[in-house]
Amino acid sequence: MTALEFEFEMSGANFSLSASAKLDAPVTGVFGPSGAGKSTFLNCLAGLARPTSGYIRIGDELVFDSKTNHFTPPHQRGVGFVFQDRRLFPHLNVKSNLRFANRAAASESKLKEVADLFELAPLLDRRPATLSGGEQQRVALARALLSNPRILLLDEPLVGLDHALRAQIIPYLKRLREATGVPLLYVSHDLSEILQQTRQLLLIESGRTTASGDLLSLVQSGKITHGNLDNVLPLKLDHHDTEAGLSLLATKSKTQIAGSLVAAEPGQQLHVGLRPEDIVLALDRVDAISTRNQLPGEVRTLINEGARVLALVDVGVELLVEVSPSAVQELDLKAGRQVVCLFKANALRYLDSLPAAK
Amino acid sequence: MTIALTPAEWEALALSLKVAACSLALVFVPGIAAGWFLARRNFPGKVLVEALVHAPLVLPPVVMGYALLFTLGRHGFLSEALFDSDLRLAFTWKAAALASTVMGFPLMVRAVRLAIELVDLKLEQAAATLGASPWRVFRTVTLPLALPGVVTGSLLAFARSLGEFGATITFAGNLPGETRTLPLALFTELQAPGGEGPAMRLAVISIVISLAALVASELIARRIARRLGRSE
Repeated sequence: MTALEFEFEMSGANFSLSASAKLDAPVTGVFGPSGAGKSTFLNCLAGLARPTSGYIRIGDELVFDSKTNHFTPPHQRGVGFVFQDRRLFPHLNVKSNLRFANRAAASESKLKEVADLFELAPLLDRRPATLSGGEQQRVALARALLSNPRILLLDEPLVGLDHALRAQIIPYLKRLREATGVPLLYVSHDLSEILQQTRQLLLIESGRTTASGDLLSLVQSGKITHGNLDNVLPLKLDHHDTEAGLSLLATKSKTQIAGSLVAAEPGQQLHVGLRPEDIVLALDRVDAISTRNQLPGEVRTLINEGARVLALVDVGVELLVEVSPSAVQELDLKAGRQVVCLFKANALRYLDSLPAAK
Repeated sequence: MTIALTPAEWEALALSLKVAACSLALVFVPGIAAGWFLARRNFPGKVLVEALVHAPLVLPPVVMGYALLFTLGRHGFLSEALFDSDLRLAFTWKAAALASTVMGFPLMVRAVRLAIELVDLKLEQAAATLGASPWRVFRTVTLPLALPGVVTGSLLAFARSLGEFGATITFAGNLPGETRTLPLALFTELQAPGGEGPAMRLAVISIVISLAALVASELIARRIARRLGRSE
């Protein structure tokens, strides 16, 4: 079933938004630069703003239709909304904030279950003002989930959190995804942050939704024109080599990758970022070279963006590699060509855990 | 000059408190409703409604008293139309309460309105996305967060009632035991020869009650501020 389908226009005094798409992935990343209209888009979905024309369908229910002048008010939409600024009620403690959402269900066991999921038990009697940013975000996530939504909107959930706090929140986002089965819309201006959650994207640019679909298809059709592309790899930590100062990680297909030392236990799953411009292509293995990683693979396709070319290389996982047009000619790059991807160990960026203290 | 109050002065004091309490009760709900309406709703003619609500602040109180007499007096046009000219309101203590209510209403509305305007609309939106109906949002988010303004408004309306003179004497008269509140009693004493002593006592009582109300509302407001988790 399609989780969300819409086609609407909204025009105000100094902005306009035109949006249309059909989304059915468990998690859809809504990606666009600041000021592109992402907030207006979310407000329209939640019923906090009324589009000028068009329709919005959530699940099998039409919540807005300008033809029949139908508008379901926000409190009857079942759209959970985790706001960028969290919006916890300052006059209520954490428990009452959670109860506010859970009133209809009124089951204490459900409340306890969700509080446990986000590890909120020690915070229940505290006031929001006394919580850290990360704790507030966990309360906001739990509260939105307790309202029993049919769809959940996360607006820049990591904004305003420093690296350490992000690392704390990301596992909870994963739990949210796995525990609930509620379709998620994850909104961010940071593509690599989205790619940790999903590769299904909806793009918004200067007031319109420009495309939706899988990351690779969007890259191939040249639709992603803004933001830094990133390879986000789910890897498993194999072991540490403290003498060499390296941590060794493996892809699902057992390809080994070396990164700088990371504070994590062997066996742990980690998200790792690797920028396309940090990878070098060679036709053969290079023996005397300082880069720790040399992964053999096959070029799947080339995406020509004019000033740069993106090569999609399968090394057991698919990597986007940035090369210059002249390199494409010299190395005779084309689909099917065997190449080696070279990158330094410290080009790997650990996205959900901290690098080990030196 | 003795400290003890005469029976007539006790009467004036009790009447003043009764009138002030009644007018506060009358102004409370409509004042909050009007304050919310002006803070959260836009409609054509809003400026006109605002001017009407605030009129008692700027008009001479005697004019307000006259307006009440004109509409709700024994032969007022509203009394004739609504109550078959059988309304015996003017020149009773209820008239004094009503005069105070009309004079205190804009103070209550103003305080509530300012407090509600300070309540973050975003919190109300968040409450709606959590499934709360507009009425529940008002009860559980807007009103609790605007409570300091409600307390301030109540104090202002109460104090206005204790001090109300012009509208009361015009609409309710100056009848001992019925409509002679503290300010009216004080005025009456000053008119009589040798009334300076009693007048001074009444003035002191007025000051004491007003200050007590002010301190009480300040204490309540602080408790609320603590409950709202704000620093003082």
